This record gives sequence, C-alpha cells and structure tokens, in this order.
Amino acid sequence: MIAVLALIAGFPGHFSEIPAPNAPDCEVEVIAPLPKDFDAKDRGTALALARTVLVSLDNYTPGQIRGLTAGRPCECVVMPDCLRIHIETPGQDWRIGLSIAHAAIQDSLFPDDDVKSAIESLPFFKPSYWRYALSSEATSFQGLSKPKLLKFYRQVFRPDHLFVSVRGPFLEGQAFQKWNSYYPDEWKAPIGERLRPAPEERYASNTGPVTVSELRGPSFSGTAPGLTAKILALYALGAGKDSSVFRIVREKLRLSYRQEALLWPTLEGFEMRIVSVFRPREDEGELPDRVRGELYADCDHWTEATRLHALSMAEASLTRQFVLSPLPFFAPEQPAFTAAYWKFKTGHEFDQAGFLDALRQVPLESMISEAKSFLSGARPITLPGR
Amino acid sequence: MISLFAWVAIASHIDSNVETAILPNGSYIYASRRKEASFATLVLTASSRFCPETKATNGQRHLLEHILVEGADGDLDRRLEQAGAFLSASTLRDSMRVTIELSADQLELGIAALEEILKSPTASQKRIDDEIESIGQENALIDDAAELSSAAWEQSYGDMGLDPAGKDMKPGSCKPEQLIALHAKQFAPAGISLVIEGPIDPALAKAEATELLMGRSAAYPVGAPRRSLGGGRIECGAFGEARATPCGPFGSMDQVSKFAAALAIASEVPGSFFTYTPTHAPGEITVGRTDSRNGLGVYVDSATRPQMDDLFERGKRMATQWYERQMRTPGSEAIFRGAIGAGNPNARIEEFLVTLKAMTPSDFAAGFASFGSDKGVTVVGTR
Repeated sequence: MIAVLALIAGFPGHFSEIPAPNAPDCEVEVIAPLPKDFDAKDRGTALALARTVLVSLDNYTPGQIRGLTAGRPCECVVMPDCLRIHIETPGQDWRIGLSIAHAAIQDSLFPDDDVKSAIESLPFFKPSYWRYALSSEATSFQGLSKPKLLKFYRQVFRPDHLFVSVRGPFLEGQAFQKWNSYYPDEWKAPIGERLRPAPEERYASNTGPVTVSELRGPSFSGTAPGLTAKILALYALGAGKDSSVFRIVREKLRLSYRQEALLWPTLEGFEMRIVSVFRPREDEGELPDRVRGELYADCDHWTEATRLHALSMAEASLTRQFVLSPLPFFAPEQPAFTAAYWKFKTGHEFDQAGFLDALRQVPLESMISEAKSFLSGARPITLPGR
Repeated sequence: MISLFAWVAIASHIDSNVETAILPNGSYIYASRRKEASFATLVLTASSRFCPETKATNGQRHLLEHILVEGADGDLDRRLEQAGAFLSASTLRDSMRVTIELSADQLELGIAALEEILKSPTASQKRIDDEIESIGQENALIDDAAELSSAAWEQSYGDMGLDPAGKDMKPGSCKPEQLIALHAKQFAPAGISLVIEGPIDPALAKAEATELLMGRSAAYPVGAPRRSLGGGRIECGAFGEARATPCGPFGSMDQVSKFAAALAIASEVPGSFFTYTPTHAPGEITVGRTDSRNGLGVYVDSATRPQMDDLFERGKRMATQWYERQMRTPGSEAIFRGAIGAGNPNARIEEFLVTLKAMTPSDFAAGFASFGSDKGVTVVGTR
C-alpha cells in the first residue's frame, strides 16, 4: 500500500447540516462506504464492527451513551454498500450527538469482552426471512480477530471517505463549525491503496423454511442516465396493490404473500430487483423465468393510468412514511440519513421536490422501456428453502 | 329519558380542534384537526371482545381482514390507490384495524371505503380458500422476535393468548357463513372506534363518521375476560431469548410500571427488542433478543434494587418519549387512540402520562422484578 497525501484543512469528507428550529430530536448520520473489493470475510468483520463500535468510546462509557441518548437509537448497521451510524439525542443536545458520532468513527475502544462475544455469537444469528431474501450475500467469520477488526475500522472510517449529516435545532453553520472543530489539523490522506480483484458473488446457505425467488438486474452507477425512469418503472412494477408484481405474482400466480420490486444498493451503485419468498415447491427453479415472462407481457398493457399510479405511490412514499416503496434506503422521517446517503450514491444533494418533479417528467414510453430492459436482462436466482 | 341523556352526553368538545362522540350504539368517534399534516388518516378499529380467538376459530379474524380489505367488488384497495389513497389493515389479539390515508378533501372517499368494510362479506368458498393459502405464505415469514413474543403470550394466557395469525388454518376450514357471523361480531357497533386526524374540519369529519356508524345496531355477549395463568418457562423454535410479563390494561399502574421497566431493560441490553400492543384488556410486555441466546435473562435476574433505582428516571423518560412518538403524527396518534377507544370508549390514552407521573421507584422496581425468572415468563429459543 502506498500512502500519500493530499493536505486538506478541516473535515475532509462530506458534511451537510439541516437546521430544524423546532425539532425535538437531533439526528446524526455517518455513512462510511465499503471498499469495492468487500468480500465474505469483510462482511463478517463489518458485522462484528457494527455490533461493537458504539459500545464504549474514548470519552463516553456505555452508561453515559445510554443516558445521553435517552433510549433513542444509537446504532451501527451494515448496509450492502456502507456502514451506517445513526445516533439520535434530545434536540438541545445536538452537540453531544456530534461528539458521540465523532468519537465512534475516531476513538471507539472495542472492549475485548464485547468483541469476543460478537465474534462468538454472530455466526449463530439468523436474520428474518425477508431480510435474508434481500441480503443473502455469503458471510464468513473465519479467522476474525480484534486486530483485523481494528484494521478494517481504520480503513472504512477514513475521514475523507465519510458522508456526515445532522439535523437538529441549531442555526445554520453551527453544526458545521462544531464538526470541523474536530479536525484542526491538516488531514493526510493515503492514496493509491491497491484493491483486490472483485470477489465472486456468493450467497449464504438458505437455512430458512422459505424459498427466495428473484430477478436481479446488472449493477449501474447512481450517476447513470435514466435513474428516475428506472425508479418510476420500479414503482409501477412493484409498489402497491395495483402494481404488476402484486397482481401477477401474488394474485394471478398465487405464488407468495410478500413480493417487491426494489432499487437495491450495491458497491458499484444500484441494481433493480424483484424478490418474492414462498414455501418451497417443486417447480420453484422455473418460477423466475415464468414471472419474467408474465411481467414483460404486462408492461405492454401499461397506460397513462399506470404511470399516474406509480407517481402517486412515489409521492406517498417520498413525502409520507408510506411503506410500500422500492427505495428501501429512503426514510422521509430521517432526512439526515437521506441527505448523507443520496450524496454518497449520486454525488448530488437530495432535493425532494426536484426529485418528484423529475419523476413526473418521465414519459410512459421511458418507464415501459426501462422495465422491459430490466426484465429481459435480469438474472434468475432461486435460493431453495428447507 | 335515558336515551335522551345519552344524546346529550355524546358530544364533548375538548377544544375547537377536536370533536368526540360516543354514539347511543356505543361506537366511539374522535376527529382532530392537525394543521401541520399533509394528509388525513382514518382509523377504524373494531374490538374483538365479542369474538375473542379460540382454538376452534383461530385465524378466522385474520382471514376476515384479508377478505374485507378487498371491499364489495374485490378491488377496494386498488380503487383507493388509483385515487391516491391508501388502505392497510391488521389483525391484533384484541382488535382489527383498518387505516386509510388520503388527502383532506377526500374524506367522503374514505368514509365510503369504510362503509364497504362494514358490510357483510360475500366471498365465495374458493376466494376464502385462496386467501387461506395466502395467509399460509404470510405466516411462513414470521420472524424470531414475533415467535418469542407469541410463546410468551401462550405461557401467560394459554388459549386466551392465541396468536391471531392462525398458523393451522387449512383450505375448507372456514365457510362463508362463518365469516358472515364473525364479521357481525367483529364489527359490532359497541366495539367500534373511528378516529380521523389531519388537516380536516373536525365537526364535518365527526358528522360524516356519525352518519356512517349511527344506523348500525346489534349486540352480542362479551367474551370471557382474559386471565393470566402466571409466569413460567416456555420453549419455542426461534433463535434468541425473551423475558415477558402479563400486565394490566393500558394506563393502569401495573401496565405503566412494567412498560417503563421493559424499556429500561431493553436499553441496558444492546440489540434487544421490545413488544407491547396498547389494549384496554390485560396484555403482555416482552423484551427479547434475537442476536444471542443469553445475556438478557442473566441481566434481569441479577439486577439489584439499587440498579433498578438507577434506571427509574431513564425508564420514565423513555416511556414518556414512547408516548410522545405515538402522538407525533396524526397517523400514529389515530392508531393509538383507536385501539384504546374501541376497547373502552370512556378510556383516554392521556391516562398513561398521569399514571407515569405518579409512578414511584417502588412501582418501577416491582415492574422490573416482574420480568425475573421467579415471577415472569422465560422464553427459550431452541433453534
């Protein structure tokens, strides 16, 4: 690894603040992108890191953290493309929220007992069936140790890689000033870190009682043209009772209770997916292609009413807390997360009104074309249940 | 004279933004203007006190919910979506809930949709069997936390705590006439609450709700009250562990102190989950974890009185915050208010805060201790 250096004053990552004068809570988000060569062992390490990174910090004991956040979320989760730290404090304590977040990314203590306990218990953790269906990548805990965890921690939480966002009752500039004060020195960023070859795609063994059946499109960048048309196509395909996936997979084929179309985050950007889960059946291997054919034919019947329905679902999920959304990472009630995450994925600030306007501009033909293109190119995947 | 008195008593104006009524048939209406909201929420909650789950009927209320949301013509939810309105429904042990979100100028559309829900179902046997199949697929997705919680209910209440999901339903096990009879009891007027919140005119909303609910009349005997069988140990096929305790009705000191203690316990054990459904009836509070099989029970059993006292303020604060979160959006407040109003139209969710304020460290410690292995329910995941 070659290291050297861009000299940058203050926080070298991306920071955004959302002043909200009357907000009763403060929300701090840190998005730490995962390396492009992230593999099964890294996933195991990331899970152990997420479990332990907020347990004990340089300036905060576990009891203090619990007291200061007063039962609000203070968590780290592994997403498909990043580690996400989410901290909430009472609104007036926004400085404490930032301080805890900074301590977490800079000075987590990783107590030996907690790391040991995480390494021992994580291999036995079984996600819910739907969570497994969405995140079925293989995970390995083999050889995981505290030194490896610490190395990964330093690699992933490099300040210049981070996207930080905070929402709370502060004045414009106050939160930025506070966060920048943690970085008084010039940041020396190592560059030229060599990546390993991209890992081969592997799935964890399905130990659940339900089969996962899927159509998965190729990965594309968040800056690729046509993102809004793809998203609107996903709303038409899979959001709501009048969507193609609901009408065909659940009602016509009576295949499953839960089936969704998703814009799923990947290390490269996003991929379009249609996922359904059901009790094992003999013909399950043939079902993805059958579903593909039915959905493709359905697209030919899409009309202006389909587009308006998709838009209506999009407005509901983007402006309310409506759950039927193909954007599983989007949370209207957590604007700081959306701000940090959207910047990370697309390079742009998230503008809700502008995004909705862009969706409204997508013509029916483009929506159909994106849906068909996805369906015809998607890989069929079946992960048989027990 | 009695009925005249009832008519006088039905309307109680809390302020100009809130209109409430208890109709002569027992239905409860609450309409509240929430100017800050961008849409309105209608929550129809139907208490299950006239049709509690039994072994013989287990799952049929869930099935009824699946059938009802399709409306008279089988496409109610779809029609609403096309108009930019959204319907969701859920079946709980003590109630069934239908929620509709729409813009404030679509109130009539929402009321019309609820009118369809209140009509007797006309589903054919094939339609019923198809939905039983769908429910089988739904039940295959139940996660570990729900299984641990369900086991706790079973240990605390036996058949009176049956999970309404209905795991054992088979095609042919429910006939159309059974659903019709069940619908009549589930939606008996005396067990109905309709809460409407959002940027609405509360007087107008109350008038529309009154028109919807007033003409209905039917009475049924109340089912046997749920009685706790006490604590004990139970195994279930999930991964993880849980501690639970039966508790009194929502807002009682028994419920509030155990609730606050459970939140405090959950905050001490990272990664733990907490479940409680507000209900007018005796309920169950569960704290568990699905990322490990141990740690939670050991923590609860080893906690000393000074440790409990140290957590008193935190538990109280967390319970207050939980309440505030329920009240934060019109949708969540409507669900919360509807659940209590359907079970007891004279009960007020605000009582929770009054009781919480009165809670002493001793109450809290007693609530905490109720999760101990000697008093509460120990759920052991065997997977």
